[in-house]
Amino acid sequence: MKTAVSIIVNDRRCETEVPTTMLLVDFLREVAGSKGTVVGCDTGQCGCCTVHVDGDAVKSCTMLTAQADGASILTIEGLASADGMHPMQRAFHEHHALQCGYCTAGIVMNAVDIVTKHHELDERTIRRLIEGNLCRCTGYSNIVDAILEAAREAKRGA
Amino acid sequence: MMYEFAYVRPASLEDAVRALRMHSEAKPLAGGMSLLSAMKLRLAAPTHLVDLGRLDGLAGIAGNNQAITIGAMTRHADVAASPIVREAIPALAVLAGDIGDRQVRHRGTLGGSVANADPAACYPAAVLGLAGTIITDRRHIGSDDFFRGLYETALETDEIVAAVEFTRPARAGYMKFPHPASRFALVGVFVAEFGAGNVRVAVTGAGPRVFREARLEAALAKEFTPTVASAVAVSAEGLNSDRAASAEYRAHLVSVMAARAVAWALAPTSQS
Amino acid sequence: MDAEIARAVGAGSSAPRIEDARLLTGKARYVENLDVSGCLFAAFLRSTHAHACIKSIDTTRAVAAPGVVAVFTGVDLLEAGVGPLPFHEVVQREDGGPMQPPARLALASDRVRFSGEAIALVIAQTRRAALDALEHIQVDYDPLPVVVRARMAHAEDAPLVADGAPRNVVGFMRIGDKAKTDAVFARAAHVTRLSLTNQRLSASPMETRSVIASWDRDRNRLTLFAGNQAPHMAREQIARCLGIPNDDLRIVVGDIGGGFGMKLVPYPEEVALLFAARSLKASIRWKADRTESFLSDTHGRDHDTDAEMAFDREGRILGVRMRVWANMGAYLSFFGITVATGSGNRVVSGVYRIPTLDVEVRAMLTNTAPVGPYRGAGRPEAIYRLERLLDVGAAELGMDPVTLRRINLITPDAIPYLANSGQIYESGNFPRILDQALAVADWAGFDARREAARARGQLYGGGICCHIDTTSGIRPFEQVGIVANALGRIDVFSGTQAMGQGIATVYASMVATRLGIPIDHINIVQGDTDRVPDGVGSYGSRSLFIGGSAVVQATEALVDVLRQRAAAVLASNSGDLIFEAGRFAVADRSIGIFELLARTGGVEAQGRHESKFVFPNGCYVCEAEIDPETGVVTIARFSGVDDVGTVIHPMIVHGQVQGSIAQGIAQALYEEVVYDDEGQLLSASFMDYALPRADVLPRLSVETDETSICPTNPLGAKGAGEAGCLGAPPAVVGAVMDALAKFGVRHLDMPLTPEKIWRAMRTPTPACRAEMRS
Repeated sequence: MKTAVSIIVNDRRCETEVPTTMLLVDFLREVAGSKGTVVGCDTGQCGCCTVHVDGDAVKSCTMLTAQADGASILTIEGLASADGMHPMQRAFHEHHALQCGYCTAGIVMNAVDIVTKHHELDERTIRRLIEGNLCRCTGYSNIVDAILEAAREAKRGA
Repeated sequence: MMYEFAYVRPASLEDAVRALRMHSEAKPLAGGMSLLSAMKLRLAAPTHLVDLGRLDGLAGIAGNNQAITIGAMTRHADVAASPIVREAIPALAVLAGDIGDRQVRHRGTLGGSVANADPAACYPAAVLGLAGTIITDRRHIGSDDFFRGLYETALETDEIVAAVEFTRPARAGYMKFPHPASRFALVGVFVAEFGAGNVRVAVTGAGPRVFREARLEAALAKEFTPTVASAVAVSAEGLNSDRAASAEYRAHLVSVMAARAVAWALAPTSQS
Repeated sequence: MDAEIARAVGAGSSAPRIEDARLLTGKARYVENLDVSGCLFAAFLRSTHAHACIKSIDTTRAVAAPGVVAVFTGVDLLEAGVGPLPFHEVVQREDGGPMQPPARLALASDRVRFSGEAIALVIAQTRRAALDALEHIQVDYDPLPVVVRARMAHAEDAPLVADGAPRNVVGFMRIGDKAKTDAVFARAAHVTRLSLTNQRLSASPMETRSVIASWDRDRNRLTLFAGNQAPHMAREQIARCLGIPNDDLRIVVGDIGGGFGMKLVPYPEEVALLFAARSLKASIRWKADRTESFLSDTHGRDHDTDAEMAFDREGRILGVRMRVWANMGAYLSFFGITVATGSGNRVVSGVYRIPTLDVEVRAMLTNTAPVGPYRGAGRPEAIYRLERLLDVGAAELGMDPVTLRRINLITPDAIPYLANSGQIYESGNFPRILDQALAVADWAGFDARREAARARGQLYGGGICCHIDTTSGIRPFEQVGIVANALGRIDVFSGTQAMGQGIATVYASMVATRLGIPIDHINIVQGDTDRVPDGVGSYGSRSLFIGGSAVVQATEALVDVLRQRAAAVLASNSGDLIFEAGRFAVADRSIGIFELLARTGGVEAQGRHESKFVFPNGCYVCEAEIDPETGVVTIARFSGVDDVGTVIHPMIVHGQVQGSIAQGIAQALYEEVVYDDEGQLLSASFMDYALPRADVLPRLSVETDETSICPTNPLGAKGAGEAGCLGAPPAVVGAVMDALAKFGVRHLDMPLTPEKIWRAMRTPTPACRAEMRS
């Protein structure tokens, strides 16, 4: 069974018919070609698939493509600009906040949303706000440092 | 990977009810946090999903001196951030702000949680603890009559939750002891005091469904202090016992979390 | 020479990671992202029984289901001559005969031995069609009795998992001198006894196992795209299974989304998928879902141990006796037995002088998923039992645990030290590391912090662990080739494998620094058995000290050739040339590498390094706080010092240390793979298996000490990345037990869940009750 959708992915509109069962993450990977979004579990725990839907970080593995009809999606591929990496990506690079990289797109997308919406961030708050993202490599401290740094930079820029 | 289903996007609440009535194996889809997860694991196989996501009027928050009413499709994140909720029932805002994780709170809805009646979900504790009223497309159901059992409510199969009305308490608190892996409530206790001698204590996570703890209510009605709550020996009978916690440990946690919820109610802070 | 080489390759400076750009922008090359056109999709039917005879498998309806291309069962593979997966034949049976583990077939044919074992493989046009077809396969099982725990499997009346393993002991090894140890124990002033379990863990990399098996029509051979940590080794093992020459199988690895040892060994699914690809002359994709991973990935640890330590009156260790039941699961994964009988036993006596040992290890078959290497692989188990014995011993002797350790440490004057494991600790200064760790931890301030915590109503304790690791020399060599072309591009070929640890950055930075050229000229080639002629792989923290040493050798060989050429161009003796900042110079004449390459053409050079086992070591200190009402443990402080020899890339070393400590803390407090008595896996998703999240892990202050560099390789490196899994569990458990000391509790098995602690607090031991009464 199919359903028609019109979804903007990283500023590019995508109008097509998809199976009703198609999850947003599969649409992003298989239809929109954004393979930076990956899946690390079946139960909505790991957060590897986090993307922005109309400006909110959500887990694209627990959302139907049909539910995103009319929405604007931002994925890891849409984060960098012509000037280079997004400050959050840069902060992750500088703080060695990634190793294997599998959880990275999801955490970066959540972190960008966190910094946009929270203006007073400390370590404890960040650790709570990224509880929906599992990372097996880093032990998280460098991730926290990267987000703190990007938050400081956002504040300076604001 | 889900079994096949038809996706239905109704134009109105009546439309949605009609769609549910027409197909016996149809299910309403709210945020989808529980339903889609179950479908992915092939634990649920509705033939039709009736998406409530675009129905105007199902989301929103309004309040008066006696109560606040929250639309069923209001997301956890919006409840947590709502100035109305934070002013009227800060414990409810804190509860909503600690459900799942922030990605989940951007999708999950009050109505979805209440209708699903997961025995370890947070919202049912607030609905029951705050003497809430579940407003459906056809009637009002008091929270004491609503939660019937494991994933079982008073809702008819074609009935849709439209909003929940929460009574404003004098003070309230919610404390959750999270499951180490899933972060659902291993035990969550909502306490609310509605003026002298009227206390409700609702417990989630500990039993097959959310329930009121009579002994705690009686003790706290006399004196609303953490010490009183700690001193109540909660019975382990009928409580869940699993790999994460025995019934005995859960019973113990009920009184500890109740005491902490009372302490919070007496001196609220921004975080639980 | 060593210090000079380390300096020349830029030791101590942290080049930015070259992997990050693609990983951060969504361009990672995980198997699922590889663009292999026209792929079919696979799904495996898995046993729902932990132990059963398969009476029949009916695939008729599945074969006829829409979209299904083929369905294979074990019989198809057997008839085609596909052999069982190999195992490492390192020990014998207890009766001295050769090991006879059950044949591990890619698809079980007549008997299943664990829940989740693959039985049938469906190949279909879509993933959905493959999954749907699984529901149409009928399997008729005849259930057999089940055994799950290693110790219980040894009971005389335990169900037998396989015929070749009497009392389920599939392999056996003994270390030490039983008679001498018995004598020592008989006259010891004190003996500490402990029964403990090092629980089963899941590696749980965020990327599950993911495979494309592909038939190459042009060359009539197979390609396996998979995140394998040791592609050359995997090729050999899988080719043997399939009965084909190594050259008929190419293994290609893209980016690996975490391995941790679990992706080291070849898997039945890979063999079955390659067989299917060859049969259908097709390309087939498969990625495990998370529950499949929990069911069928190799697990780690799972040792039951009876441990004893004999002390004299002053607390000096006289001897150690260990009886270990190591759970192998239902079959031997390639390195399953090696973990139990090999790598752990090389550090069986830790950093302590232990005059005599008597260690018996029984490798036990049970109806559980096969166990394999997982970060630390045997050493965490060995260090844990020693450190727990020392903590409990200290409590029993009324000694300070730090003092007890200190008086038993091997002193620097005894290095190199022949341990009675038979291993030689080539370098190290254990007392110095202990002292430094205590300083980093501000151990002097512990009492004040404990008082402060008590004033807040919290229980507080401190724990310490002196650990020693042994980094891997199984197949103790790596071969590295360097090809510099006339355009100035330098390719470095290595059989070690990048898997997120950043080894490509380290190699590239070493070569670039030594050559004095920008790092973007260096291209590290790994993970392709066609392009990399030979190598072993990445496991046991060997990539730098073995692989990196081979990079050094190859780079020096390259510089030598270039020097000869520069001498010719500059009309000078090569010995007179100074090589600095990418230029060969003599007097006022000089030539840069790029110009030299452009003028004289490309160069190839080879390097090889072989190494014995080496022994990184360290000391961790943990302070833990317990909520007395709930039993919840919070790590208040975690500090320490690691001696990994020369630190080539500090940023990456610290990243490794932090990550492995996180996994060690997770073992101590959170994680456990649990089977019920019927052999059904209860921890089959992240809803049940508690991978730690950011808000439960502490910030760490762990430093490195570089005073004892490794003398057996040109870099002076010892290997980093696993020690956290060795040192953290005993330090954390020690801290928690210290906090609980007043309840008379001396030991609880990991993970230290709130309920376990709550129970320990409310049921004080008789001795404790007496103490509390007085």
